[in-house]
Amino acid sequence: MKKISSHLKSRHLLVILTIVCLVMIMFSVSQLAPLSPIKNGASTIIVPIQSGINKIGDWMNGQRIGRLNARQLADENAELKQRVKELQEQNMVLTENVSELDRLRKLYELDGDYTTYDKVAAQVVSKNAGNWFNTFTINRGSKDGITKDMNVLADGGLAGIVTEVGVNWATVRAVIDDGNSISCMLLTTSDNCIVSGDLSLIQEGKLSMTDLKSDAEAVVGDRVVTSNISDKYLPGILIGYVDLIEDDSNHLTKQGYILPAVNFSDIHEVLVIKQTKTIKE
Amino acid sequence: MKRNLIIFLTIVGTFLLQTTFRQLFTSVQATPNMLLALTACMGLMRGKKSGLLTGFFCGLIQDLFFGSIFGLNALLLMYIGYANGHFYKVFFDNDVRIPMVTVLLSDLAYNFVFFIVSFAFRMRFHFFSYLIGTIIPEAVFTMLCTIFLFLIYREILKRVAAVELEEEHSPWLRR
Repeated sequence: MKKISSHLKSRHLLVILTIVCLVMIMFSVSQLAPLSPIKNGASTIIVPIQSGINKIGDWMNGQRIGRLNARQLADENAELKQRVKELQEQNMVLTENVSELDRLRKLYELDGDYTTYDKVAAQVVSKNAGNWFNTFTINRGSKDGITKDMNVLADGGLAGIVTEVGVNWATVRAVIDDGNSISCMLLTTSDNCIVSGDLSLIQEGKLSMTDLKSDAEAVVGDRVVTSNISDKYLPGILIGYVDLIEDDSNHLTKQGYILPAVNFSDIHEVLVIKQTKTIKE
Repeated sequence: MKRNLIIFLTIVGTFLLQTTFRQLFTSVQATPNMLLALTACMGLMRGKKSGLLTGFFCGLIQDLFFGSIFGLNALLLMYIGYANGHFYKVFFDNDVRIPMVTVLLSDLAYNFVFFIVSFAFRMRFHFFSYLIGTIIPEAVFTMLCTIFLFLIYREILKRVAAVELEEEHSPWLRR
């Protein structure tokens, strides 16, 4: 091989490899050749290394925080104490609300709270190499019971869905990825809508919401959750809050933006729900 | 043999750094396209053939782990390496400005084609918001990173050249 390649002119090599690439693209688009064994093998080796590098990253972050001077930390401490007081008050109100919620839930017979699902914790080890897509790899795979289409949570909201699984890794497509769209509903009025990722909105950290009925009485701040009719997402998982809502040009539907519950620029730990929608039904 | 091993390890190292970049530097928002910078540097410093081969393998490793269309990145990066190889003869290795300019142009071209293939085909045409939100930050950031990467790659390639020279002097190794 080396002999051949050293006699080859670069132009000819370019043509040959172009053909190789085009053949690979055709195979991949038509899904004729099984690529997942190769991917699986390669990832099994590389994921532990990436985990190691992330440990270094965590350590570096710790060092950076350690260097912040005491004055700054004291200020922050005072601020946080104030915040604790505020939160304690809020908590009191909320505990009252919880009992009310319990009562209403029984009324609704809506036991689909996702806190009851069996979950497994995982760490994010790497992110897609590029800025176009929002997929990331986690350090749990089929040996931890993860399968394709499992829902992934972070910060109490929906983070994404498992798209590929290896032995000790899995790829997750984030909710904000441009290719993602989810059937959702507004928690207040149970009106259905479609929430999809849009690269042009990622910079603002928003999702786009479409196909909401024009008579739906949604207001800014309403909670949006996954709906019962979604085929891959379990019902009742929080996605985010309505940020803007307006009539479509056809006046039959409404559209708007949603502020996701998850902070996607800073995901480190996620929870994978070990239940897929299809098995449940 | 040793030469290929060094270059292969450089590619893998760059890939690892790129995929874990967000975890390493949590305060930075965009990820620089370091594999593209590596491809461009190889083309500039070692010529067309090296550039296109490096681009091919850089793209391949990227496709292997994250690509939705297997072979697309390999194809794009290969052409970028080949194009940068055309500047091999006019490039002097102590001037960092030339790789900065070619990396910037390469990144813009790469992302432009990528936009057409992955987004315009799906009827998403907000080109200007992609340009401002995604393409330009990445291109500029990659260009700035090239300053450091270039120095690192130059050192590595000096080693490679030394290895090649050594093999030249001991012809039995070539068989």
